Amino acid sequence: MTWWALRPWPQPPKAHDSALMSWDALAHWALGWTPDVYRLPEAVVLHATPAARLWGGARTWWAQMQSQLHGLGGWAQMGVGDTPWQAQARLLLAAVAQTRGAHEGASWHAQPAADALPLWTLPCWDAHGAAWQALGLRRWGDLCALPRGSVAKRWGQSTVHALDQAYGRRPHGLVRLVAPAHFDQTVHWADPVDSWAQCTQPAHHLLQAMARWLQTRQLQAQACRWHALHERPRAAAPVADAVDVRMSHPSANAQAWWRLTQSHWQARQTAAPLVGLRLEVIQTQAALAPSHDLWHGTGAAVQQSLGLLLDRMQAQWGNAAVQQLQPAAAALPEAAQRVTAWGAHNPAPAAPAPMATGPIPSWLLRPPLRLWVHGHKPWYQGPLHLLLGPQRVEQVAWALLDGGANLAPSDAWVQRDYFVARSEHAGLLWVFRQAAPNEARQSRWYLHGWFA
Amino acid sequence: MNRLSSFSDVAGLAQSLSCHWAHAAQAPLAASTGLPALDAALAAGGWPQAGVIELLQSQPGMGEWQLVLPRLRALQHAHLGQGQVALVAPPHEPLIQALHGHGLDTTGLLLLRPPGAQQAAWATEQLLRCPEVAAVLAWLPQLTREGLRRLQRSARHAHRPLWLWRAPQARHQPSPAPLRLWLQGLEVSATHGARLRLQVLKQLGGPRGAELTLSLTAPWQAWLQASARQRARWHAALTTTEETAHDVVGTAPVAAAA
Repeated sequence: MTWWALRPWPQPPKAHDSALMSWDALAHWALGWTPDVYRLPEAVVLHATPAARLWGGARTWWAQMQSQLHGLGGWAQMGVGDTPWQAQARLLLAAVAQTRGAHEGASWHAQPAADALPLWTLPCWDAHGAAWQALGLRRWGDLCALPRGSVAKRWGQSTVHALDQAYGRRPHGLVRLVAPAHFDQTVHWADPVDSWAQCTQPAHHLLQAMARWLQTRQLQAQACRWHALHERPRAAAPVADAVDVRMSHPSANAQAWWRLTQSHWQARQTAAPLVGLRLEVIQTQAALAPSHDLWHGTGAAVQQSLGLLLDRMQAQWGNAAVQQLQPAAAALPEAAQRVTAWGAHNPAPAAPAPMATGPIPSWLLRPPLRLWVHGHKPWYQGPLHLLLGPQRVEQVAWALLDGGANLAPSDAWVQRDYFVARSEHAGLLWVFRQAAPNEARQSRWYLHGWFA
Repeated sequence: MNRLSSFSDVAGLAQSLSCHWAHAAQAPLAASTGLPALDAALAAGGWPQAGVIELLQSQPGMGEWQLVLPRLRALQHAHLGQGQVALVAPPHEPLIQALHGHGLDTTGLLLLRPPGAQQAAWATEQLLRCPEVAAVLAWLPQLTREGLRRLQRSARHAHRPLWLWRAPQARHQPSPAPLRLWLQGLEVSATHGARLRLQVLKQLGGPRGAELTLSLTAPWQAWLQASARQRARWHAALTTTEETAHDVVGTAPVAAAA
């Protein structure tokens, strides 16, 4: 049975766990490697024996953990022992050695046996340490050598229990750590920065922490929120500054989230200089193992790349930059299809209904272009020759032409005669004739599309 | 004894070798355009499978949809009916009723309207990398030479075609595209209906400069021809009764399409 005790280095201040490598962050990070993670007063301990084989042995595992920690900009000290308390004791000895200086601490690295561990590393030292010192008890072994009955009588049954647990003679009775139900982490830094773009490094750390949390909880994130933490002048109220990032297809991939975040940040300004960043996951979904189909690649993964790309485009250029066309039940061509932003929750797209009997052009001009009429003939890059028509289309419509300004309520009944017209230069055009508002005898010509 | 007797033999050998190499470089070179006349005019026998297909035209509405629709249908079919067709910066809005009538699945039709030319080129390149996009059609009149080269490289790398619309002035500039067509205009005649006039500006492994007139297979073609016949009958009737009044708009001899 091998236990590893870890603690962040350098030691974070106890007051606020906001350092890059805090106790909580270290515990969550450890949960990414094994579920057997426990918390002791001075260490995060993990049961290494069962999981070590999954990571290619203890040595390889520790090397991997170290390199990942290093990549995160953190560092941790480790102690190894047969029980959680032995591991913690060795970790504390190593920490003391490090603060005293490497040359003096060389002897401490000799990994003392359990009996030789100093008594101040036991959890009940605070209560009875003075008495033990007065009796000249220095090591775990000294306490073990005393009769159990008298130890229990003098310092309580709990001391015997603690000693038994430290030696592994009793079950350890610790409660496993679990990842929290919500992800909400904060990073602070000393020098204020002026823009989102300068927060790359802390954002990376937060996103990687988020990815580990998602992995531990077997979730995928659908939406998360970045909070900018501002320097707060004493009088002013805190400025709310948050950016919501939402994905059309949920993902647990830190890289994908970072790309989308960048797109959102590029379009944003900060209200005030930033001294910290907080990341909160606001919507999640259970991660489903993608089913592999006959073709290489998985359906979900393939779907993701286009979804992510369109998400990024929308984040950078606005929702109107990515559009889809939705058929609608209407007689007028411009009302028969709606332009909607991609990803909006539309009703299921149906196949468009055939509009009317008659030829339908491929390009639609929105809004229709009013044509000049010369000699009773509409002109567009020259005179138009009408080939086909009229095809009458009628519908009750409000504000279809001219932005609705010229339409009185009585003109709500739209009646158009559509023609296919030939132009010398512009190909085949779709034009219509409509009675001018307020002038019953005059009609106007409009260009509405191209046959292409 | 196998000897090359004359210069023409050497030239022929060189040509056949270059053709061979061109074929070897990109295994299935082309896919049918769905228009037999165009297939016959192209040396590869259809649209290139990978790379930029440049279509130069001065304004929209010259039968460009009829040109690409058969291939788009086939590409969508190859995606098991789920492939999306993406239009980058189209000049106008396509009418989905019309495209649906031509057999294209329009539920996944994407219209991208990037704010600038640079962004449009970037969007096009990114879309080429998305495997679930069946086809990319882009209107990039302000594309730079470097941008064009980059798109060509991306399209080749992704092994897919990119239909790219540019202005006819671009025909004077060199292009890495394996196929460049100049759409010159629609001819509408009583006998043939609408026909597309185009010129092959460049094609890989084939002669250039060929001009051809394509008869389009659009559904409105039949309407046009029927109307032309009707009009001819009207005209005959009018001339026999010696009526010369000819008002197109009012009492037009325009065939009501039944």
